[in-house]
Amino acid sequence: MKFKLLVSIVLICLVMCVMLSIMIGFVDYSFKELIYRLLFDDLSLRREIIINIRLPRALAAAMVGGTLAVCGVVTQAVARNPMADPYLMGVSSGASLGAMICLLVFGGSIGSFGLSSSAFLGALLSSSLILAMSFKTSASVYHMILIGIAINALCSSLGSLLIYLSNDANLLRTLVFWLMGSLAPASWENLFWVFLASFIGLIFFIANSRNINLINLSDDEAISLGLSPKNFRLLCLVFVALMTASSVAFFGMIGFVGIIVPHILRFLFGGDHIALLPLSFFSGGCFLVLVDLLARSIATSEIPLGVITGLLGSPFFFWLLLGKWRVS
Amino acid sequence: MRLEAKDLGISIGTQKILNDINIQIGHNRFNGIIGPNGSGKSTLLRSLFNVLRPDCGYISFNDRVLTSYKRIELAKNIAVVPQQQSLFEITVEKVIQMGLYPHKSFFEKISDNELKYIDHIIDLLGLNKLKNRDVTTLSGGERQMVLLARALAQKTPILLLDEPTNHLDIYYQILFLDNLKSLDKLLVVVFHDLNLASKYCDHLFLMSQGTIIGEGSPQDILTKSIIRQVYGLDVEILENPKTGKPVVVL
Repeated sequence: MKFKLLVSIVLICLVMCVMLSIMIGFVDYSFKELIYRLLFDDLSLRREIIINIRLPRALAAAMVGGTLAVCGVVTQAVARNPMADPYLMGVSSGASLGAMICLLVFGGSIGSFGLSSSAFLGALLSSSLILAMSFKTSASVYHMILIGIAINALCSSLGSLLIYLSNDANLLRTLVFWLMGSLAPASWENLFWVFLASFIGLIFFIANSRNINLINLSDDEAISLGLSPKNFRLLCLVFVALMTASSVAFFGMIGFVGIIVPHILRFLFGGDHIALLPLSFFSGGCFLVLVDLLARSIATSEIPLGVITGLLGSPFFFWLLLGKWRVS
Repeated sequence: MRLEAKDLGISIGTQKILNDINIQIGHNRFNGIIGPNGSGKSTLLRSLFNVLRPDCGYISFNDRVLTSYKRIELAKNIAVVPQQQSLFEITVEKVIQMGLYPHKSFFEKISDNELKYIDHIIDLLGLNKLKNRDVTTLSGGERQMVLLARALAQKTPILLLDEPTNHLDIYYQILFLDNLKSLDKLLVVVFHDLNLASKYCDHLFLMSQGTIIGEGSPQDILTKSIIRQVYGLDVEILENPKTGKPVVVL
């Protein structure tokens, strides 16, 4: 009962954050006007701004934030390491590299689906490399994270090389965008792909939340409780790759969400993944909606999301690590 | 219930760990595996729930080869209390509920009856006060009790335990093993402490250098000559006046 109440409260918070994000910006809306424009107005420019700019952007922020937080939770369970995260372990930079190569080969003519697919392939490739090397070397899960960090460095370096070799100024700007992350490109079309990937991944993870609890134990314990840890770990990383890739393909690399949000939730509510997964999804959504609001409100031009999450995340993380916010 | 190893050989990497193991478990209720460090006790136990696959020979459970079972089927029949605990920030009650996972499908909820059963186990092992505590804040002995509770929640006829009294003080050792002895299950327990093995076990398997070199009642196995041969120690063997079991005196 407590779990349902918590999830409901966080969901209500998310809805409020999304509404706040729609209301505040270059053009402001009151709550009353927002409802009026959504329900009764069908022609004005102010309604167009809500429907085609603010709403998809706020929903994209909610979806991407939720996706990255869930991917963080799952990666930490799979690697049995609280510092693991798709961003740190090279899944995001793999996706980013895939999207960059696709843009360089096909230029701007590539559609959303093509971009998303190539990002997915990149993410899948980097995840497969992590797993293949872990199995090949019979590495412990602790070594797995080190292999991930090495793959992250490889993908990031290749990405930097592509940027260095690129002569096209427009393309260069697009490539740099991936390294910083922004929700400015949000549209109903790309929102659909992000929603689809997140939905599939989230259903898989929630259906397997008990197994995710087991994968967090030692392999012997997981086996004794009926799980095949190697296969399940592989499956989890495939879904993490799918979810991360869909976000990175359209909105670039947004770091720290997958570490900050799960840690706050674990500090507050413990590590049971049955509760942690839905809570992470909605809380991650809240977090990124607010970060995006901040990114486009505090300066005359928009600040990249990755910059804000990094600036907010690091000190907050230190604070958490110093144990100032331990709720038993 | 019957677990049997036939001509079993197991390697880890290039290292041969178990060699020509032939045992039958099922005639006696409380079975102990003893032997010096590196004799292969834990490897044998791990192979009994299919973590390690044999190079040669096989293990069978109820006359069917163990590797032909799905992991989930085995988890409904064999529960394990491992030597190494790997727990994360979760309440004691939730850890014990993990024992029910093999019996649950994806979205199936834990029923009221199952919750009552969990409460019964918590009562049985005296874990009431710890029920809502974060398991990572417990002492080694308390954690061991929680893992036993989780294994009991699996409702299996067979329970395997790998050195369960390691790192426990004498109070928890006795409490833990008394609880274990009272269970109506087929038990296979790896022991380092020969006197605890003698006190609690009906049948002992003695291992040395990756193979079984003797089996029988504690009276048969814990003799001066066998202990000298296997451990290289000269000891005295006395008889416990209460139980009649042998006591090893250094």
